[in-house]
Amino acid sequence: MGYFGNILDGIRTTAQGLKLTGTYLTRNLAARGEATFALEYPDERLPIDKVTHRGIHEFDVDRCISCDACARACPVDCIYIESVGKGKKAIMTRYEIDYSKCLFCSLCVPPCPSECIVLGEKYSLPGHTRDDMVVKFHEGAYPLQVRSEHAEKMVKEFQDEGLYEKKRKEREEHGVPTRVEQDPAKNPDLR
Amino acid sequence: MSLSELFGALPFWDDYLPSLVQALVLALVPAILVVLAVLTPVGILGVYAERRWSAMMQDRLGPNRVGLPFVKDYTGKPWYIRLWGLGQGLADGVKLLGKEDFVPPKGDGFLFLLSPLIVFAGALGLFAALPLSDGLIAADLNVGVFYILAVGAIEIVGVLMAGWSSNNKWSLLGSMREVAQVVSYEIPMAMTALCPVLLVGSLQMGEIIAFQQSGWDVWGLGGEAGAQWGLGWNLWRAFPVNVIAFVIFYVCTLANLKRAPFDLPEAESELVSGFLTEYSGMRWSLFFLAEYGAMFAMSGIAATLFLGGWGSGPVYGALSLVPVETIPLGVADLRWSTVAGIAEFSWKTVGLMLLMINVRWTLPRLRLDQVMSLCFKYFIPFAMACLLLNGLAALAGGR
Repeated sequence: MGYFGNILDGIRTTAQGLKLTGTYLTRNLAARGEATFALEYPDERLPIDKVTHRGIHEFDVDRCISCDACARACPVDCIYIESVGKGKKAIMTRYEIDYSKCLFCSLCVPPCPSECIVLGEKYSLPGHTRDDMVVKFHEGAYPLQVRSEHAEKMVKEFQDEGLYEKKRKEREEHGVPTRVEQDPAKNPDLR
Repeated sequence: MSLSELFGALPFWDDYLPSLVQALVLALVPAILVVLAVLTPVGILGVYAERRWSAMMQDRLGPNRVGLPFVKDYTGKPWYIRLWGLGQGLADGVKLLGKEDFVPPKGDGFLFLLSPLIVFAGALGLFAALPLSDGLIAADLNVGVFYILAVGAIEIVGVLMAGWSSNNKWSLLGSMREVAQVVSYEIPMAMTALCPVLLVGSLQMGEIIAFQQSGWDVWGLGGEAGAQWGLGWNLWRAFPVNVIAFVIFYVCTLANLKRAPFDLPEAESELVSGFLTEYSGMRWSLFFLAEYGAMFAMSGIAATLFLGGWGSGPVYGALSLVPVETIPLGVADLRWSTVAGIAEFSWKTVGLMLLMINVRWTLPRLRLDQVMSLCFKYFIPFAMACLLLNGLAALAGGR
């Protein structure tokens, strides 16, 4: 390419580049930003694949029988359980999961005889200290929402016998009240 | 009413203040006003525009959130007015104020602290001879264009000082590249800046604008009608010689401002960030304010030399049809041509700035040998030819 060929090539390629970026610019300006790929994160989120996603646990503290099966299955020992009494009469005094250890392997889910623990959809747990990474499920955090058909039946039976209120009252008497808001209208974690 | 008359009305002005202090105050007050009223908004809006504009070119949104924060609501979500993200510049400023003011212990501390001031002074000096509108020029020097070229070159002294005093090889390499680049591009830039000067026969900004306002001329064709509507631009004179000269001048401006694709002095992929590597906080932001201020000033000067400045163009033509002579404002009357001039100057300058941003986010960075060959092999011969042809055109036009 000669001297003038270089000049023409330079002008042509510059114009080509400016035309390309200009097309995108005008398109996005005309659409006032609606045509971009950007997702304004806290306000808009991508939908979660409920089959494969493994997020923060959802746990039904009232139906848990403190059998310790999940804690024994846990490969990193991040589940801490303490209770008073035995079997179905057991009263949960502590059920904590340390998410700085948890590897979301889902091995705690199959051993559960009452199907009261699953891995849920929440993925955001920001905090400033290591203690912030420990979620106190015995206080009612992240209640069970995603249920299998079998679990749905068990929950219904449990509800019909009025055991939810009873268990909650028992825990309160042992000094473990339900502190986390259970009303979806007031707790953004339940939405 | 001029500034000296305004201060002269103060009772103690002539009686107590020595003339040196008077001169200093008269010089410093406009400078501070320019910094507060022009440079800072240009810097903040320039950064914002750059981010939003480039985001739109890349299918992103850019900062559209930062606004005025208020208290949090009951769900813990902060409640704020978004203002299209215009608060981004202020938020950046506050962040920069809070940064550690670092001076390299083994570097030359005095030069390190001095260099951002010199770079900033170079950018600020450009505004002295920048005609913003009718009567809105700090000093209409009879050597205006020469002054602009001279003051614009002061910046490289500061950059070289920054690179040397940082005691850092990236910094020194970056500033050496900058000096090589700017000194080379001064040549075609000065030559193309002389093209309108040849036609007008004056270096004075006011006369360059008045010349483009008063008549038009394309190889003998010409007249007075329509000159105010943009026909009188130097761009059209000796067509297409001055179009080429304008393009060369504009690209040289990009190189002198070290904007991409000529951002070798910063070249973050090779030199960390060139001469800015060791700078942080307010000193770093002084460099950036200087860059955006110089961008604005050089766009304005390109608009003045080739595109009629404030005095000629479609907006000015349309606004000058309005049958208003002056707007009384108590202290002094505001001429309508000043208002029209500001509108005309703004759209051209902002347009040229946005084109700079477009170019930056479109073209990849040149290699140093490409930068040099572009200047010496292509721009200088063409700038010389432009100068020569403009001389012929000026002769043909009877000058």
